[in-house]
Amino acid sequence: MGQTTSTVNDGARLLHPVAVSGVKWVNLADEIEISGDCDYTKEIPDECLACVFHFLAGRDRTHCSLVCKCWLCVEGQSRYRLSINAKSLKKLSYGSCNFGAKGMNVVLDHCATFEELSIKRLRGIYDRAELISAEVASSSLKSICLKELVNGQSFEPLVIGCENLKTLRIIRCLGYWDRVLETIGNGKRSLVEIHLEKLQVSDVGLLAISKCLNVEILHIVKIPECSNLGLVSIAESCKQLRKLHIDGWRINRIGDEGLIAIAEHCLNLQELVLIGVNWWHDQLGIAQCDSEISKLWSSLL
Amino acid sequence: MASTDDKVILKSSEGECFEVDMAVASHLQIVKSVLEDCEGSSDKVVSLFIVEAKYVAMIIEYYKNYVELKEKHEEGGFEEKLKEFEKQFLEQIDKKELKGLVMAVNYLNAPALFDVVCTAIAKHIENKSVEYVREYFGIVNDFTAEEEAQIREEHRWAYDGVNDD
Repeated sequence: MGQTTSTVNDGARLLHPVAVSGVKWVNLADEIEISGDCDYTKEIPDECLACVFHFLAGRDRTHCSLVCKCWLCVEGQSRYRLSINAKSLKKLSYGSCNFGAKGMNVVLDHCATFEELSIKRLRGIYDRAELISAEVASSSLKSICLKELVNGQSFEPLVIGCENLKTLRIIRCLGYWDRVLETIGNGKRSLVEIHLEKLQVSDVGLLAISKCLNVEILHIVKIPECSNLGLVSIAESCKQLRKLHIDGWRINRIGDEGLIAIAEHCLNLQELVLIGVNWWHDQLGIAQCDSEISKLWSSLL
Repeated sequence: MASTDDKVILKSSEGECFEVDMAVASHLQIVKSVLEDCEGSSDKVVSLFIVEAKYVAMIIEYYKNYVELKEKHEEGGFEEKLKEFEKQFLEQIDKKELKGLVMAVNYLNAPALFDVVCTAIAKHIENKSVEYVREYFGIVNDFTAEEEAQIREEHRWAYDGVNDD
């Protein structure tokens, strides 16, 4: 036994020339031991075993992988289905997972109650070939966090499609994000919190954010292309801004002009954190504005 | 058309012959392709070399009902009726036979029944201990104690609360 799979194939091939009666049969059954009691599974071809595993849930599959080495191998190869049996799943967080857009989409398509999604270092997404979107979860998703993704733009449709998105965090993801922000800016009034860190985002992106009129919390951390121009437009239109964190990375593109605009226009500001931002203007003009600034840190070097 | 045209004879490994309607036999992909290759031949006998008579009978029974139910419930309800029948069908097959059947069905390439049998086997090993599964399939454990312990450790959560059998 053991060679069963190949014997079966031979049988299939042999069938053709001898299938019409009148020809002497080549009876393969003579060569194949069809046994009753001995090791049955050796006869079950791997592909059958894989199909049986397909109908089992995660825990049972784990049991199967312990049965013998052959099963461990078959089970591992055929484990392409992730079973999440939680219709009311609200919060999902991936870190360093190795599945792709297909897996993401399956999860998103089956969870209509999703509220928080956090994805960090997902390794299975290649070349933006497949896009990730959330038709089912699009209205329930309130928070998306993308971190250290190589092909983060695959998530464009997801981010853009979420009507009620409140919090968006994009951190150290490769590629240009201006386009995503632009699309979001056009009509996404739900956004309250935006956190951008080490991204390729320019003033175009900041201008887009300035159209999200309800933004209350904004973090712009180590984004070299952002300048005063973008910050001024945000200051002028995002009147609800409560917390603003800027890490200028000592690049000096954000300075006096932007900060004065903040001081003048953001009357609801409660927290301002400046790191690596150089400013020269006395008092920053903040003294002139009516808002109560509860915290003001400035690490100026 | 003469009725013999619509019949085909399936021959089991023991040489037992079964006369079946083409409509039934065509669900077995391997039989279908053999017959297509031999088109025009008056005598239609297909030898199923490695399939024992009892499995040939089971497979024929399944697809006979499948075809009949499909005809009868053309306007709907077919799937439910088929499910009902599948339940009865599986009740008369013991555990050992299931394993023989899955191989026979795999060899004959009959997708609908293949799924049914795989599901049934999966049900048998669902929520069972590793030892039970080994016994059921007659498998000798070829892991060393250390290897098994390591895998168990990795999946500790999976071993609580399994059925005793």
